[in-house]
Amino acid sequence: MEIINDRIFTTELLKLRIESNKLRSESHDHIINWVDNSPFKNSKGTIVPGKSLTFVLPTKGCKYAMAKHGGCSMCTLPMDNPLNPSSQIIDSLPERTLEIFNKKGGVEEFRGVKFYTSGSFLDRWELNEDVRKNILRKFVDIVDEITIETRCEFVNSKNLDDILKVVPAKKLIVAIGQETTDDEINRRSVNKGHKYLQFKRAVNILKSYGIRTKGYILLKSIFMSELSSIDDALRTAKHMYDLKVDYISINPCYIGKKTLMEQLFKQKTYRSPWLWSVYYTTVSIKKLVQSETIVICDPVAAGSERGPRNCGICDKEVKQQLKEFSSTQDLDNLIGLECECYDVYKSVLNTEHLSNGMGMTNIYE
Amino acid sequence: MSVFDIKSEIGMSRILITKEGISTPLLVKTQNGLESENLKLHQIILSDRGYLPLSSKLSDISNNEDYDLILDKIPEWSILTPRLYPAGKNLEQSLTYELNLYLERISKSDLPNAFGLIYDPLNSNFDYLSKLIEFNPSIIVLRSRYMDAISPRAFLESIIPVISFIPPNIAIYVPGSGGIGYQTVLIGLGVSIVDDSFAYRLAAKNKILYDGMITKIKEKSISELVAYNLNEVYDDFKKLNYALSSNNLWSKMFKDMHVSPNLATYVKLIFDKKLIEINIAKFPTNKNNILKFIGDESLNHPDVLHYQKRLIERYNEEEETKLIILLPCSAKKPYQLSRSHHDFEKAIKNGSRYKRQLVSVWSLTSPLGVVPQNLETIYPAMNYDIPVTGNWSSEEIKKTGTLLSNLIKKTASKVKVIAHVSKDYSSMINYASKLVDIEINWCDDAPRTQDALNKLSKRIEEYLSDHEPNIRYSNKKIIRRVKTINSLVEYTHDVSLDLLSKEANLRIIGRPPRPVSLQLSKQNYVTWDSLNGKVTLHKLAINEIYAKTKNWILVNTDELKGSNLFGIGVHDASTEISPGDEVIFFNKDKSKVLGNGFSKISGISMKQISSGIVASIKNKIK
Repeated sequence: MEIINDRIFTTELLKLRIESNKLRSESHDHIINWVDNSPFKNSKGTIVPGKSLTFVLPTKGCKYAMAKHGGCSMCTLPMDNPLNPSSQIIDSLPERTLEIFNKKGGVEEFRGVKFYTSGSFLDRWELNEDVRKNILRKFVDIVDEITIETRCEFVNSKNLDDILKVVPAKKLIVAIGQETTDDEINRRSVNKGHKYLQFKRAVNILKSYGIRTKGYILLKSIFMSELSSIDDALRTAKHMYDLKVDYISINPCYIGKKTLMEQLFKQKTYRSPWLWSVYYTTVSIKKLVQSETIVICDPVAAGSERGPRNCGICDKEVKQQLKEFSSTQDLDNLIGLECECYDVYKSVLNTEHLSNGMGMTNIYE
Repeated sequence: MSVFDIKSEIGMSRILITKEGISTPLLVKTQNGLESENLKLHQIILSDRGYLPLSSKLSDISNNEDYDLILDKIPEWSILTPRLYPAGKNLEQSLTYELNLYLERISKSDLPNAFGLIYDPLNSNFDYLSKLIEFNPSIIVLRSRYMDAISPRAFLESIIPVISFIPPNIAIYVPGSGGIGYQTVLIGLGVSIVDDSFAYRLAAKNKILYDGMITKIKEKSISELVAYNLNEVYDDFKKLNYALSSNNLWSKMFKDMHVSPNLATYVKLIFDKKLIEINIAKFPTNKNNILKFIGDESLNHPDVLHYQKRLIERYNEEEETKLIILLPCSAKKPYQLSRSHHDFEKAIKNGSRYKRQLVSVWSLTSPLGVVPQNLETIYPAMNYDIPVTGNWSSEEIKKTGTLLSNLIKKTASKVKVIAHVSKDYSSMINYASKLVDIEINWCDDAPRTQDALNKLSKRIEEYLSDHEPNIRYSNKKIIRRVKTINSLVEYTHDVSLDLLSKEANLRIIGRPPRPVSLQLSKQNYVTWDSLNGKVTLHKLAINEIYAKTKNWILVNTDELKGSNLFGIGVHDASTEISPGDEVIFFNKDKSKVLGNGFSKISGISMKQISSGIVASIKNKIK
């Protein structure tokens, strides 16, 4: 049997990453932000919907995306970030995020904040210890929850001890984009660069500090059929549930620019997932975890050609109900959704794994 | 070994059956997994963690599901699939990696009796397919874009060679491709499993299968369209099954061409690609169904092409023939029993008198072209129906005219040919007469008028005035039948028994329509069934022709046992054998004749399988 590097596809990823980096600006200070509804637990443990403000900080972005493997196959996020932001921009982030927070409604409006960097909040290459602590310090007393995102490898005692100097563990949620707990998929499709074991380790460390954890599940990575991606999402959810992850966020793929996913999409060999798959995965996972875990799904670009979509008629409603469910955790919001395209979806789903693999792009054309 | 045996082979199509009675073709429902009436297919991923079943959980979200179910055993009727499928430009090496991994995992698996494997014709080669076949799957799934969403040429070019390569007792499934017309084409090409997803996809585009055609419609909801389309697809599948079992699949394919231009392209390409010629031996030589040759497409009907091929290759005129009369065909079959041919025969006899043995009769007809009187009882000469308009298309003229001229060139180049036909045949005869010499005895529109018949008699008499029979037969009454039997044996085996030279020792027992027994020196020699043109050789005849027959099967043993020969017993077989042919059995090195019988499947298929009945045994020679 011919011996081939099992990750030869990453040369394509790297090529695309280099191309996408050419489109990135050298430096900018734009802090992307948006408001969304989020589920908050009150003192009795029941879910209360509330608003949170999300920031995307203009750091250098994910270091892993700059690595020789080209980073994650679906990820286009670093394109929003500058290649080399000045230290003044980075140093100004604590002040400026607070400014935006207050401008958008402040403490009256928001119960939580989320800090994304298109990379890892805990990576000192993106944010040095002082800046990250200063950011947290600005919000620690004015919100109930602070969510930060990071890759597994930055979850260590040194980093956690450092940030816990300014924020109590109970207020902190650390989100990790594990995407899947299947190492084969992770290695040869997502190209995440860390294994399930590392995720387990990271979750256990966070648990040991009393920090809540959020696991991201990617729905329909490249080289996977719709049916196998649903299957993988459910298996991943089970593993996360067993690890007692506090939040599970389901992230259906959308087709980002300059990604391998986009290339496949243009070759008509990849279709972003159906919203029915997103719906089904969300309902199934919630049924599995019940009230022990909060399940969130707010699909990006839902209903668009590049995002998760159904027939075009029901997309808006399915997306809206998923958002509603995410903030209330009330399954009644989801169960009973209907559209005529559901039967078409099921038929396609059951045959696609054996035929087109990554999906038919033109079912409704 | 595949759990399927070939129940019957009809051209490239076959009906497969398991011991449990699961029979193809199968139409698989796609709403809740993949299931047909008596079979549920499971989709299983071969992963590094084990066998991951992809269940159709969608139909029933339950709290008690095992979300990370890993099977320690592969269930029967599982389709095993690779973990990942990186198909795309510049990803060839990654795909190779996954496909090799897939092979490796299959090889390490404890496989059930019945299972399916996936093969991608566009991205893998025949070496890879051979490796998959070595695992003895019962189903091979051909991964492809949907038939209606890919260029017909690309689709056919990718799957046709693969279908020919896969042993015929393995069921081929082309997922996602099916629906009215498409499923006919697929089954016609040798696919055994299709599904109903086309009905859904069509509805999604607001299209309906109405009155056998795809039509866009806006007045109905998607659900209504799905229901309607499904009903049409299932109804059509029943008709398809009937057409297959009654050997009318290709006629159905011609009819179904009108479903859509895309489908018509498929059907036309199938003929353009000379696919039928390559597989011609797989088409039966002996059936009892009536073929309805309606349009020009019937000129390419496999059974027509098969007949014409054998006619040109195997039909010979007797040496004593001095005159061939070309006659119009008749609605009644065999033609010689029709009133018109009765009149023609009378005229021929009047003209030839004691020289009748010097005259042969060939009937002209479309789409078969030419049917010599000796072959009138064979399939499909006995079994067709055509619209009679008198207008021949240019294609019809060209094809039948060429056949006529070729047959004359081959068998009767020194023989006088007189056409006694109406002007309806003029174009065809004119076409042929540009290539060979034919005297035309035009009868305007009435070849049966007394004037025309008298003219024919007179012309025959004139021509034969210079010829006398060389042979004086001792029993003239049986000569016509003896000649018929001789031609039929040649048509079947491509060997002549040279019966006329043995005429003095021959006798015929029985009269058509009952089977007729030809005896040589009071020993059974050949049996002829005039109802289907079938001849059966007896020991004496077998011993005469065995060395030259094209229908030979080498058997692994030195003795035949039982009443059927199974695939496992076949050492080798002639690729000239067609289903329904009489065959001669030999031992492995062809040094000993073991007997004769009738093939159930083609010689091509016999060479590819090692199970199931391949032929029935009629006589054993010890």
